[in-house]
Amino acid sequence: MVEATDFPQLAQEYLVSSVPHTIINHGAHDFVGALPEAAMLAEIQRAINE
Amino acid sequence: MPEALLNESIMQQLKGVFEEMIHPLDLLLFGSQHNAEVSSYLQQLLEEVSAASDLIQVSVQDMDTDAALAKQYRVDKAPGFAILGRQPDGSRVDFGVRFAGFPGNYEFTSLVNSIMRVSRRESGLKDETRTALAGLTKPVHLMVFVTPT
Repeated sequence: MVEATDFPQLAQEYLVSSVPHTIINHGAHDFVGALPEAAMLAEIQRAINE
Repeated sequence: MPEALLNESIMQQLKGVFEEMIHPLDLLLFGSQHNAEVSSYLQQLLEEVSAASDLIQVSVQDMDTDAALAKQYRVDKAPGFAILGRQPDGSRVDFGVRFAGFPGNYEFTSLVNSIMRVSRRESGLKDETRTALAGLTKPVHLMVFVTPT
């Protein structure tokens, strides 16, 4: 978990505007919002397979 | 002495919630002179949280002077902390839980939930998710950006 207000440069680096915004493997993949469990797993798997 | 961040009512609620803890925890905090004010607030918050349970200990380090330890525990943003299990022999168990910055308002709930998950060794995930995650062959780094509004 990263507080965007305490790390504004990092948030800017990853183009974070609305939260929650999840960055996978330092930008390999990302998604905005809270996803259901299965969807979140799918995002993780997509990130590692890309 | 600075004013308490958590009032008496919150402390009582926390004590109640923490009664359901099972395993002891270490909150390993790395502060920084470059972010001194937030570091100080975060240290105070974690110390107040740990006062609500005998199972929680706080260890305060500095990102610069304790750089090797920060690297060992993969804390790279300061102030930031790891929520680690603490074994009877004093060694730590790492479940990869890291917080960076001050968890305020609704994020305080995330902190309490994370403490409970690690202490109870309960991810709260479905079996099929746990199976899939156990089968991962490459590392996964997740950063969830939040704001305290």
